[in-house]
Amino acid sequence: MLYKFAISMLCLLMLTGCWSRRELNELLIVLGVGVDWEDGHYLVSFQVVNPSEISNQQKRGDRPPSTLFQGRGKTLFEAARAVTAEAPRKVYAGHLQIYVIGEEAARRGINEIIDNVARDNEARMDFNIIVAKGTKAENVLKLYTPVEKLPSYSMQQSLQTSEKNWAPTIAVTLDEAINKLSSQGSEIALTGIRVIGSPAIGETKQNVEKFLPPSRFRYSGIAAFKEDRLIGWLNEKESRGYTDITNNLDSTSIAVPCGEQRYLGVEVTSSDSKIKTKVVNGNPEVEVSIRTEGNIVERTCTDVDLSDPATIKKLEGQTKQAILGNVEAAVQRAKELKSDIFGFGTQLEKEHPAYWNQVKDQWREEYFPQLKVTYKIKMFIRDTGTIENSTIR
Amino acid sequence: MSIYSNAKISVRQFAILIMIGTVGDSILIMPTITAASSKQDAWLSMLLAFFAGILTGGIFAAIANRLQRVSLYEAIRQRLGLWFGGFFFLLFIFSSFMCILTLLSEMSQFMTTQLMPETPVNAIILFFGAVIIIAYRYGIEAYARMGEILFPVMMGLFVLLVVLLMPQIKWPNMLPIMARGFLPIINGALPAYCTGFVEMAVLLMLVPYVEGNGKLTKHILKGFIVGGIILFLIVLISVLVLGPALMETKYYPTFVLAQKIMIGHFLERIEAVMAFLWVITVFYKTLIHFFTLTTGLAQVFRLKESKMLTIPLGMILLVCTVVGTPNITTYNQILIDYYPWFDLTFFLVLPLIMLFLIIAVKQKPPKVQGQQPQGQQPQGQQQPQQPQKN
Amino acid sequence: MTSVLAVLALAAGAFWLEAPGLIRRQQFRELSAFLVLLLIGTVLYSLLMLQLSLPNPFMLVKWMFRWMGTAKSF
Repeated sequence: MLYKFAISMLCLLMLTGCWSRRELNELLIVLGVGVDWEDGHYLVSFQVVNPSEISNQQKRGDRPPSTLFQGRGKTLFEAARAVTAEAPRKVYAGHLQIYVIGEEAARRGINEIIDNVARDNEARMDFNIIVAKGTKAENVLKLYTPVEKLPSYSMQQSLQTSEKNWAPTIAVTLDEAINKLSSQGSEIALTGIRVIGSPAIGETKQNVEKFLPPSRFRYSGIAAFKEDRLIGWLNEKESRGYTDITNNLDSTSIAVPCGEQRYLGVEVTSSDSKIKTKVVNGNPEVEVSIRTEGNIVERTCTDVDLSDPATIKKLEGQTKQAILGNVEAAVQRAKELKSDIFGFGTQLEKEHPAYWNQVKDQWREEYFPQLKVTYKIKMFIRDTGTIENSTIR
Repeated sequence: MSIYSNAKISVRQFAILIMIGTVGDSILIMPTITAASSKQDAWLSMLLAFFAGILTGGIFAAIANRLQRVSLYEAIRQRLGLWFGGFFFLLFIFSSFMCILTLLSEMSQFMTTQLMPETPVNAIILFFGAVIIIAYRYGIEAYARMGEILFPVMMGLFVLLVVLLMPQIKWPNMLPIMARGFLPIINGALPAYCTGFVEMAVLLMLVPYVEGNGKLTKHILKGFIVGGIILFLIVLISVLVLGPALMETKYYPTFVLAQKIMIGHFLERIEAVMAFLWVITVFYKTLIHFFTLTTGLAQVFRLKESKMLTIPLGMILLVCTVVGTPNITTYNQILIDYYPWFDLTFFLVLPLIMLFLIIAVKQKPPKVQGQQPQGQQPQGQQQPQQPQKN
Repeated sequence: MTSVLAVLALAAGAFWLEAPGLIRRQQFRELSAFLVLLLIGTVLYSLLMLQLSLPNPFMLVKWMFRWMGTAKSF
């Protein structure tokens, strides 16, 4: 009896909580991290949630839904810990959604940044990495965004939605980044984010008090890297070609010219692309085959007769030209930058490993810029929306 | 001998113990170790280790069948005499001791790396050790039954892990196959084979407690095969979902796999539940090795009980684990470069010598008459059956 | 210092748990084995708590197979 009592008393000792416990109100939940390189040290900005502002039960005050804390340091970890000099709690990176790298930091090299995040045991792999274009990462994180209270969430959703629906963006997660940075045959490419309007107004609540927020963010262009340094940007057309080749394109809009300043709208509903590599006479060749299906969503030229199958064929041909234009422009730009962002090298490694062993050291500089790329594009227009030819005259 | 020397576990429980023990800590660290040598061919390394493991299972089964439910120590002592037999057996126990050190290291490092970074290693090993000691003191029947109960839980979690990751499989991650030749695959297969299959030589200590008198080949092989399939699937899934770069980089790829499970934005962040899976497997493997150590020591020194040795042994193990792992880099270097050879010498060569002894050498009659418990009687009658082929 | 006391408390607890039963059953051989191991365990644990550097058992493994070198040679 005494034995049982003693055991149960000892068990009570275990109820005091575990060693590494952190209560919910001791967490500083970070949703967005921005890394800048400034005067020889890192400036890390943490966009943290202000829980009382987004809760439905508490009365809303006029504090912003998120706050920005910044830390400076020679390493990213030092900067993160330096934040505690200003912040009431230690950061918790488990809910990280977006990771912004400033353009200058990206030009300097992202290896250290990715290494630090990969080593961390709290951060998961499901957040997206983007590059701030023409601005500092902290400005990107200081925006009031309409509709979604949490700006990082808004940016992450926008990135993922636009990747599925508009195409010139790609949502890169940490594991994809590590895989691309580790392989010799492909370079990493990250989406760029811009701040339109002045950041000074974007920081204030006025930004969301107007109908059209004067300061907004916008994803534009994809950044091409060489090893781990940013070396150039792709414009919208080239970015669309990039997502097409890398099989990331789900849906987008293509405008087919059909007259004087008139365009026919085609919606791409699905797009699959395959990359096949060949070695011909000791030279590598790549064949990109894209199979696209689409619908006609806008008919502005009244002389286009959608009830005639021949028209559809013609439109398919024209859309094919548009897609080809995008894709060729992308490859051209990548060759200019000497950066194999499409992963042609990796595909070559998978299909012809012996040949890749010989050329891998000169792939970037010699073989890729002279690579012969052929395209096989198949385009099928399936639907024309809910009407055939509209009766509007 | 423990006072529960007449404890009996069923053959099914025996097979389950072997199966859980085979998976052991390999499920945590093998993806990284095999990928470090063979990159995207890690699954081929694991397959090679699997086949080698089945062969080794055959060797262990041969020994187990010939033991005829006599404890391993008795079988050795009767052939080598008191001093040589004792020394030989002590070598076996010594390697079991080192194996417990590696297991406790793995468990504590995993906890401090991924789940509870600020907890001192001492505390984790203390609690883990305490549970092991308590489980041992309850006797083999108790934890064998518990294994039988936990077995469907473990399989369920494993199947869940594999199935929920299927949408994220990328088949090109496996290519190019065997691009770097055969040597890296063998290099990767060696640690996998040693940690998974060779270290289960300690199943020979469980043999005296298995009920009945029949052959144990089927059950041992069943345990090895199921355990091997689980390990192979884990490595295969790691290659397909994570890719070789990530597998090599991260210390515990299975944890990263569990982190990646994301079904429709509602079934995510379940890695702590998955951690239950490998806590079970590491626990059982440590328990079997601890059983070997304690019961073996009691047998060598001809003690009637082994329960009282548990707490002092626990203390010694804790100290040696903490001292043996000053940092993860030192430990990893020893584990990958030197430890497989240690395993091979002590857990493969020694059993082979035992097999040779059991087949070829006739038993010496026991030195002192009254000291043996009843269970030894059938020995004299089985002598004429020795030349039988197995 | 307190940690060493905790170790000694643990050893005393183990003694209190096991010894009476062993003495009662007159298993003196077992008692001596238990005491030897308990002494070794207590001494080692106290040395660990006092943060003295103890030899690493894995170095024994490394020394045993030192001729393997980096072991990448097969």
